[in-house]
Amino acid sequence: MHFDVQQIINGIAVGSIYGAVALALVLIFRSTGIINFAQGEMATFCTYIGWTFIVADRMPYWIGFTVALAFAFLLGVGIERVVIRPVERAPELAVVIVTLGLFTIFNSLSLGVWQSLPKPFPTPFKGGAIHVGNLFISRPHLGVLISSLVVMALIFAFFRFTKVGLAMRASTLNPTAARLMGVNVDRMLMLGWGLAAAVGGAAGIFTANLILLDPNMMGGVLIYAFAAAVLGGLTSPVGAVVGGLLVGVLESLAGTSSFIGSDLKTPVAFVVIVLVLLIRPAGLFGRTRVSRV
Amino acid sequence: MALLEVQELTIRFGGIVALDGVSFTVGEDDLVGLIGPNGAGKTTVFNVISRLYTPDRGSVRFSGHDLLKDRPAGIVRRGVARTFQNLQLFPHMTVMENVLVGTHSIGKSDVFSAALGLPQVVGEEHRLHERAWSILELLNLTGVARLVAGALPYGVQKRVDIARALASRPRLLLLDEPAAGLNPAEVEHLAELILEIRRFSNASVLLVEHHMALVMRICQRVVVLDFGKKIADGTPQEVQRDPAVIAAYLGETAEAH
Repeated sequence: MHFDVQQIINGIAVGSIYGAVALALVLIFRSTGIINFAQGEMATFCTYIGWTFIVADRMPYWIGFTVALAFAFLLGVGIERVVIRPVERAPELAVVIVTLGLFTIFNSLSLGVWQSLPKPFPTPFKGGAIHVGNLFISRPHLGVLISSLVVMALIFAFFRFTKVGLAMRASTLNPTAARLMGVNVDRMLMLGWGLAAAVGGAAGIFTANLILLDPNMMGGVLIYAFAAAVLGGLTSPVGAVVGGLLVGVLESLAGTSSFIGSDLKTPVAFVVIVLVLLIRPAGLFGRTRVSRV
Repeated sequence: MALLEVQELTIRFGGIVALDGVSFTVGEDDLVGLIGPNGAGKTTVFNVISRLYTPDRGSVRFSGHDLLKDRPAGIVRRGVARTFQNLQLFPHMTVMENVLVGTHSIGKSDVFSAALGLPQVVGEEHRLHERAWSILELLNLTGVARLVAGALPYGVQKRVDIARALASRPRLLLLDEPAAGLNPAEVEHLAELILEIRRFSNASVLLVEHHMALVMRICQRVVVLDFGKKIADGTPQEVQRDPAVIAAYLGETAEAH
């Protein structure tokens, strides 16, 4: 594989989006033990909401962005409360089917309301590429990279430094003990879904900044985000972000190397991931469960 | 009126009667030991008081309030905190963070103002940090405050468990076998610690413990359970002389094991 700094730069920018979606997946997986297959389609739906505000209603970009994320947060909270909580104690497969149902619902909603014609999404990061020596990065890519890193940093700061973030982590690590400390664990689960949906929504908008907005836009992104989350260890938010960046770089390097090419880049990226998991089954940052025998 | 009034508590698991009409009280500023052979129902009593179990019959009143009407998350706001026999720390969080979660119930601000980072919230978090730190000082844990709790030695983790319970400013502290797994020096230290905790917090303590020397030394009163029934209730001296207690511990035929 031809080692190319330029491709690594491009890969990191796209990988930051994978990292954000992977982070959303991990937030939900950590607290409820399920993978939310609808994460990408919820994000697409929220991106259309953002598009409606920014393009149709001519709202300033960042206000529309914030409103779309607030909408995504409430959507996540509502979905947890209305759809997920009733099946909380059901077998995991049942919950998986519920999230697959949500996948089709949101996919159809996006298609039904906004039609399938791809729409350009405005980006605040306009202009040509920035050159450093003979390397360059396009402004949209740089903007997306910085914005998604900021969103992820905010999430980490929230969990690290706020009382609610602490209570959410406690609920994930030991729900029974958390309850006895007075933490409303059910409410923390709702919040977790809300945050995950907001992070996903941000990733959706960033994706639309780079490619056109269409109802199936997040399909490919979700696959890479799954890979990133698994590579990072599924339980580790840091792992999800690092996994996302790695997957982005792998994809980019594989796509441009002469003997692999863009048709085969996806399988090659996954082969590398499988190899990593063979050596570290719990993922790069995952914790292996040790139980006393 | 007693701080904690447990009356006629009965709970069955399948065919097993885990508690059979158990009644006792814990007064204000009391230090009561709850002892009995393995399987006597001591931890079950704790689990009922902290609402992890709902009894089939009986009542639990805490300063006049019916605790059985509360949800598990509500108990700590009434002023009842507990530790666990098998550690239930948040293993991947630091010691300081564990204790901060313990202060969760005494914060006033709700989720949404906290998420917005309003100034009074910042002030409150600052106060909770100070409280957590003073408890870490009391339990001699400041040196490990920034370390991950799950990686610490067992004896230290037990102190973190106590610190976390204490952080909620309890009026009644339920200690579930704090001496289990500790070495003799640590047990000696624990006795001093429990007495110190009472000076610090004015909390009453209900102590489940197998370590008789510890119980007899620090408790003002001792309640003895055997096969889910209360068989004795009195001062350590009275309980030690009680034939029913001696029989329960040694077996009526005094079989050697």
